[in-house]
Amino acid sequence: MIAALGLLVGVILGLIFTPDVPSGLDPYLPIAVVAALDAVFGALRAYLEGIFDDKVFVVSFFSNVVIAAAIVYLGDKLGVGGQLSTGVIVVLGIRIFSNVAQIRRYVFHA
Amino acid sequence: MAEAPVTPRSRAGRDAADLPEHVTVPLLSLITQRSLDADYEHVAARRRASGEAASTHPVPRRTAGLVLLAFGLLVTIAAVQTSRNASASDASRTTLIEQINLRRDGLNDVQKRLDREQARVLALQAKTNDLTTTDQAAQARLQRLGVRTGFVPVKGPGIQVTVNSAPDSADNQLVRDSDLTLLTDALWVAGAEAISVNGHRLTVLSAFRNVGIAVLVNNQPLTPPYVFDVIGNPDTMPANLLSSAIGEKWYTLKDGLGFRFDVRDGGTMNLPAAPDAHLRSAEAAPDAGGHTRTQTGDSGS
Repeated sequence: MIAALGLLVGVILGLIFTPDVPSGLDPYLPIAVVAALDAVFGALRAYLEGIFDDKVFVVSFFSNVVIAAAIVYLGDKLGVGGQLSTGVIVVLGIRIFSNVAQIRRYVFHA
Repeated sequence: MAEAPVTPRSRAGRDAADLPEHVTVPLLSLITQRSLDADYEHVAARRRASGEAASTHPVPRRTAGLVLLAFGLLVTIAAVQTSRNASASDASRTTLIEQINLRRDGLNDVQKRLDREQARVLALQAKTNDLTTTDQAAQARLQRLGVRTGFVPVKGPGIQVTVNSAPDSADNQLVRDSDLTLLTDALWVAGAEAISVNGHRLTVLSAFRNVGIAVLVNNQPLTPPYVFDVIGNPDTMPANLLSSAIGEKWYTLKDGLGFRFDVRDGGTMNLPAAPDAHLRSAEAAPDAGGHTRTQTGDSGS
């Protein structure tokens, strides 16, 4: 309940304020979103499995976002930013899909 | 001896068993298997071990709500940013397309101008060719006329005719302008193409004149003997001179007055050009009438 409320308030705040992202951070935002999505789906699956933990969720969320952004930043500095972003997105995408598959199993008891 | 084949196999089997799972499992399978953060299981196991009340459904608390708020904010910002950038890149794309169209129009204009100019160049070239042809014809004509009229130096085979008065002759028996004119006419009739007398080229305007006892040609005094360099066919000219009516007249005259007269082959001779005729009344017409008219118009206004 509080989770859904938090998500809703976040979206509304974002829509109201639409803060400007510094152009330097522009390329890292989509990667950060994908990493955060992975953490959120992981938390949802853990919740459905009954092993959810606040602290683990917070830590995994922020570490995912920071590490993903850092990898892409490093790639940019090394001149392989595009390839590294692709790699990060592939791995995170696979994780998201398999987590969602598990969630589906729990929700529909299939 | 029996151990040799066994050893590698047993070692291989032991190694495979000893290796950790993340080494042997393919990467994609590993990612799929470990899609859930191991920390959740780790914490749950520890909690079970510490004997805490194993609540079947631990409820997310305020911290998780705040993190989700941050997540929602992040997603929204990313979406808004992307759409904003999309409109910006759209605008720049539209501007670029406009510029392309504009430049294409300009290119078309330039192309048309190029076509026009090329057509003009072709026309001018044709005109230049015409003018060049005309110029060449005029040059050839000028050359021909120059040779004929004596204003161009010439070179060719010919004869040398020497005339002088008889020695100790009276004043009225000297060679006079009319005698030389007669001889010149006879030479022209005999087929002469160019004549010079004592180095003075005869032109269409040349005339022999008497001033006292001296003979002038081209207003230059001649001193006897009078040497005619005549370009023409050296084989036929002496005979033609004899056989023509006017030549016969000349021979009669010279015999009557006792002139010394000698004709011989001159070999290849170079005849100079006559000095340019000075025009006193006539003057060259202005070549570009339009130009002159423009100037007149300017001075008038």
